[in-house]
Amino acid sequence: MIARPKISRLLLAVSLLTLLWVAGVPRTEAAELILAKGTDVSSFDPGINPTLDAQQVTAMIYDTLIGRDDKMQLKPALAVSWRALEPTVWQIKLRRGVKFHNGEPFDARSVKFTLERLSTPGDKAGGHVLYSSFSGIERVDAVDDLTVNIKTKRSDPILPARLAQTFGAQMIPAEYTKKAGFPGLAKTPIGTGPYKLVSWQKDDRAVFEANRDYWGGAPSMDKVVWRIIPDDLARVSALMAGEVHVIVRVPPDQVEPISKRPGLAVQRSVANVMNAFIIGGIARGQGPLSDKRVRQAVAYAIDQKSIIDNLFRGLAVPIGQGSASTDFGYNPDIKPYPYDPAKAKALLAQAGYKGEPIALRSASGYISNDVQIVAAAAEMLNKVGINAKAEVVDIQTRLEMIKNANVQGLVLANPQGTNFDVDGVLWRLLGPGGILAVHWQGSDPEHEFYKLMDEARYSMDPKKRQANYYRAAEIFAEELPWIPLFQDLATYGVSTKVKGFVPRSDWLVLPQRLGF
Amino acid sequence: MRRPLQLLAHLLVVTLGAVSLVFVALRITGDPALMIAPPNATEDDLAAIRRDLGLDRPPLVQYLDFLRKVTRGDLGESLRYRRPALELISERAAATLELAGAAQGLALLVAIPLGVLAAVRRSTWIDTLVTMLATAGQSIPYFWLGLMGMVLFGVQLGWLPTSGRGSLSHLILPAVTLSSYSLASLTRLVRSSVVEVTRADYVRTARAKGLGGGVVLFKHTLKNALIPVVTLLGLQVGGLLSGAVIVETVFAWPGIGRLTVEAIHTRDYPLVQAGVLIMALLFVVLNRAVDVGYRWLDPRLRAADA
Repeated sequence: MIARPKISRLLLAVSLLTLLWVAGVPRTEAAELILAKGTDVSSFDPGINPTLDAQQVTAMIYDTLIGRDDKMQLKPALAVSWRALEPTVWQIKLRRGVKFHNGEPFDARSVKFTLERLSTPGDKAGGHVLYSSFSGIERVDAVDDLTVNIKTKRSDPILPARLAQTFGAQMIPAEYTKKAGFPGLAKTPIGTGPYKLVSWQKDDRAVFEANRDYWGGAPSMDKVVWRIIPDDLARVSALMAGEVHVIVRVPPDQVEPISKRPGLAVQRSVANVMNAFIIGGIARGQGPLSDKRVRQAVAYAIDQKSIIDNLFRGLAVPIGQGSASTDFGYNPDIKPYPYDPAKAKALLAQAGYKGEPIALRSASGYISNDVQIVAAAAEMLNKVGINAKAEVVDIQTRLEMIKNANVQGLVLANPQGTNFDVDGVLWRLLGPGGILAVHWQGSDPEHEFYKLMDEARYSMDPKKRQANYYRAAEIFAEELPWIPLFQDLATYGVSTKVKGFVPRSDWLVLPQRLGF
Repeated sequence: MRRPLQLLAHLLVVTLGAVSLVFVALRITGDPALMIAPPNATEDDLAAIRRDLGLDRPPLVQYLDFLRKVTRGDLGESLRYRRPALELISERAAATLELAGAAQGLALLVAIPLGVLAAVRRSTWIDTLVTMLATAGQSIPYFWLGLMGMVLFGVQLGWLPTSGRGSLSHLILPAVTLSSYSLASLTRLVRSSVVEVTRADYVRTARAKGLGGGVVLFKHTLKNALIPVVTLLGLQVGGLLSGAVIVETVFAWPGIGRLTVEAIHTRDYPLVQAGVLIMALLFVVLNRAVDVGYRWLDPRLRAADA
């Protein structure tokens, strides 16, 4: 006869063993600056994961040649100065005495190596995804150790802005990367930045220690931890419980509870992300929206303020043009369309609108409150007599629709620039090759809008560029190739224990400036 | 020899089926290049990304290539992380096993005494309370319970960390949350099973022999009443794994569930495939293990096999 242990004892033993095993997990230490955000970086190679959440981390390890101050104006970083020698040559003077974390000197070779990589298609250069930003570079010449000449295929006034983009324009070490390869750099990142990566547990935490030799001065916080907390309420709870000092992205309904709690504050800044309804088929005369009076009627019928107050608790700014207020070339004189249902009805009557259906589409969860925005807007359009219907499509369908220029009706989108220049959003989407270019006659080379934008893209005169963009914004506001809604706010929940925090439009936290 | 072969065949059919289904489903629902590219990417950028990742090849070629590699234990490289998918998953496996193990252990530790208590005191207020709690445990969604626990014990009382993985105290809220459903269903099962066994002839006989209440309960009643519990444990493996997906996200617990969900969002084909493959394997193996254990514990089944 086989001896059988009692089932109940067996189960008990297994449970106890499980508990003993998990009790052995080490405890975390305190006394460090702890920051939290929703999604983790996917790689420490700055060229391959250019997302808002990733750049907050990569910007700690690596530096760009040119930086941005808190007002998003260009300022020296690894480059001390830059000027156009001729329309197609930019000369960059580099900072002396900067070293990478491994001691490798930062010099013209590092710049040449990084920019040659970024101006080569990604599949031939370690899989980076920034070719379109840097494909205009023809050649990079090291004049001496601290001087680099960048020759562009055509004149490129935006090159300094491109070099400042934290979406992957960070300088990487040539010698180290040649030896370790791009995967090696991704695994053990070496930059010139204020912090060095100590450890990374993906989707849990990344731990950094201060680079005492940082060229910008040693950071005051020796240790910084980025925690990844995907759930909005869990992130807010961690802040309220005092487990983290700063959280990125405060859900609108949590702004008040955080602000009311002693020792906490919500800091905000206007962000370079817009929300808008994009429109398809205008040039091809498809549907009622190909008549600009109908588009204007839509703009008059949507009560932006009501959407912002009710869905975003006031945490957004109405916008009336195709670029964000943080961009070079934004026209401050253009106001958003006022909410005016009567005017909307009159315009619809003039246009002879006969109740043709107009779908308002969005994905769910892709943009903050997307389903609610579309539902509210459809209701507002119905009120003025537009036969509008809200439809939720999956993210992929939405992306395909926009990518294949097969937009029907209105699609909720959030155009976002990477270089704080009108060119980066407006002309990227409506210019040659842009995904919305086929939709609107302003994208035809004979159109005034096209001429203004094309000239501004290549003009080396900032005043001329600004004047062109101001006029282009007027045309946009009259023609409405898409319906601008509002601009997001970048929100941060911050413990008052933290000193030196400045909310930035580019979502960077810059822990090197923070202290207790 | 029959059973190991059967197990192997079962494993093959389930995992191949699951992975093939995922392979097709992923490819008809989206393009990972769009998820990887920056906001200002052009069509050329997207084409370069697809070339780089081998996604420009015909789907059948990709599928056969995938199967060929699987047989060598190579589950491909994550598109987003550019690292072997299996490596990413094995890094996270400990976290999920820790959470699921603690949840199931807790469920057993609490459910058995609670179920027995309710059965022994049936039709009293204790029984009503336990049944009510068990019904609530089965109907409250994980995310709600998790967030409430977080706000109460983490924010208001400050007794426990709100999220993350680290010390034992980090484990308590997620484990209790994840255990809620299985704890509740185990409690109900133990209760009804004990009630049923108490009415059996052999228990009546044991009592008639003059055995004490404790001996009858532990030696005769509980031993037999727990047999269905083992079966339920096997069935709960799937529930635990799917529950872990939600609990891991709410509590920022870095496990396989969260990794796979994020991989689905970003259309990271190889990572989703590897995640599903591992979960399917885990499911089949654990279910089979329970099956084997069940036969081992219940002499009637062994007799039937002989």
